[in-house]
Amino acid sequence: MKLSLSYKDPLQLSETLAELGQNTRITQLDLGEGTYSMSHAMSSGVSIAEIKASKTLLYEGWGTDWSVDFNWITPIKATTDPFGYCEGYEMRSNSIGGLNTINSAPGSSWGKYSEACSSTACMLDKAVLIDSLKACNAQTALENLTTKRGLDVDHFAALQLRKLAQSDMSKGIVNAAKYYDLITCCLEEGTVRHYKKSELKNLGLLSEIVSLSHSNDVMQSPMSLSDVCKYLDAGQASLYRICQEYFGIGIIEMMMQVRLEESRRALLRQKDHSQSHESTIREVAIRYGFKHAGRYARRYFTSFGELPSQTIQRS
Amino acid sequence: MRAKKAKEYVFSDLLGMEAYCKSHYAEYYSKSNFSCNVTQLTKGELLTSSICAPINDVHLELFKSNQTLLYEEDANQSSVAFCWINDPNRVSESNTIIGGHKMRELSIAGFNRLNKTGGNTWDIVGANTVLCCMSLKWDKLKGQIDKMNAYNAYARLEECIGIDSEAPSSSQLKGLFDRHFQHGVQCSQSFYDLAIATLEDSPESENLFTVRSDKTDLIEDLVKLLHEDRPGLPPLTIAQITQYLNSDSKSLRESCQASFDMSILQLIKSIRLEQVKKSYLNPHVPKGLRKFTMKQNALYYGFNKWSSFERLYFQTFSESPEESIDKAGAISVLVSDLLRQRK
Repeated sequence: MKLSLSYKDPLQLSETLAELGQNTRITQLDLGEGTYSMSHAMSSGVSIAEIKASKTLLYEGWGTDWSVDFNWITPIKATTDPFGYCEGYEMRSNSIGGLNTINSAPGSSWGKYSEACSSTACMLDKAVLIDSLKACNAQTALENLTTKRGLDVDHFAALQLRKLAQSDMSKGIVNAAKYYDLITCCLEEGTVRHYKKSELKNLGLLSEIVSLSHSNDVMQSPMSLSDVCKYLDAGQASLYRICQEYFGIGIIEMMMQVRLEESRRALLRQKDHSQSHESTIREVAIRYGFKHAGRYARRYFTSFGELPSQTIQRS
Repeated sequence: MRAKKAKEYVFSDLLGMEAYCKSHYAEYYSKSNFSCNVTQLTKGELLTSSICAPINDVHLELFKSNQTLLYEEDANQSSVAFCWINDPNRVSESNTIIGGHKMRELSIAGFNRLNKTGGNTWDIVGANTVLCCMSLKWDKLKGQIDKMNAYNAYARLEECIGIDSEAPSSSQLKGLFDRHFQHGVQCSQSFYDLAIATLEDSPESENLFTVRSDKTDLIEDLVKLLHEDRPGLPPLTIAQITQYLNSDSKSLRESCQASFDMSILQLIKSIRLEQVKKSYLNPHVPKGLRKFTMKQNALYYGFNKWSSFERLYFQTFSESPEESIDKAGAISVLVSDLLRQRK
């Protein structure tokens, strides 16, 4: 199976990902409309997908119980800013991230990618991969896979992996076993980046911030900055510094953006057209922590360039 | 007055002032839209004075009005305002509120106009209070915050509506502002540095920061709602307002009384009266037509009885509706170049 799709709305990306078994929530961190496209291919034991977007997107909630989700990026244009982060691991042109999806609970992973690169995800069967690593006695690969977030791989295998994925996305996957071999090689040959203690702490904090922003309870009754500080046991300055560095906006602003995006998903999924638009918007606004529908509509307009009522009409 | 380009703008009507503010802002922050609604809350003839002395990247203004004024404006993401009152002899007994923060001697507020939560902001400028306003460019300020690693300042910009600061940087900022209006300051950098330092260094005591809350949001939303010019403009009832704001009438009543020292209905009346007056001054409608629709305009804004409207109008503006229409179109702004005057 192979497919290439282009979209006008990042929500459509998450709909397609959901069809592929990834329940990912996507939030656009830049304002305005963009263009988005996705190619993917699937066969038994392997699933690959590449996403290009003209805006910076935050992905939350991927990872399944059966797979390890490897990620890499392909630069599209030169930039001095980082291309993106996979679970906080800064993704460079030679990085492979997402290793810790082997340990984490399904749906707890996140990533953020800028418009300067495309991002590719490659899902391999967890059990099959571990068995094959054990069978060829790849101790380093096993160690890296189970204890690291990401690796920088300059080995020839990484290049081959990228080429293979690229060609399979247009032609369809012929030989799934090749992916297992190439990934094994990458895991074995990759270099580990060394982090300072404080940097490791930041990576942990980042994941907590992303997960807190996406918690349904918190979306319904948004936390104030001082609540967030207490909950995460962190100072406001460090929260702002870390959010600015990794997401380019303030923490409260980021949490709001996630709520807005989720409310939009709810509006678009609105199936019941029996009640008036006005009361639907009110209900959705309140469900996502916006007490006043007017304020919600204004904020919504700033982010998406259309009013909630226009979104419902399109649904 | 030695500041370069210092000009005084004198207005006797608020429509002219709004239009002027709008174009002044658009000129200063290119590509950004800005609009505001101003309402006169006290009774009597109006005279305002704005002394503007902008330099590169910093807009500086001294504002004073003989009447108490209510401002309502949309939040924006291009400028950050820092305002304080200048009343060393405490003559004005100011009831000034900026961005929802009650202004006292040590207060600085207005920076929540940089509001990314889709809100709006409101101010009350007390009669005869000298208001000092400094407006910085957000892009530049943000860059500076990153460079200085001043993330407490960032947090406060996003979550506070005002501070009462005894920090030395705060009095230095006010001092620099005064010096600019006396002698002229060329370099904008110190304004940025001191603004950041004031936000960053002010002591962490709970009382000194007014934090954004449901209450402050509620009053912002109320002010916005009352200014909305919805089609048909049906008169708003308290029940509709509470439903619209998802609030209860008791907390609305208390919030309104605490902020404006008047009931919601009185506040609506003041705002609507000002809206009628602005329709009388509208330069895009021929004078004859404005006279012809004079009564309908009052009706449109919810004043059902002409005679009591006329009386209220006269009490508030010290002129009759006809006089307003006749006066409209006359020069409503007096601009003087202060530097040239002194020479």
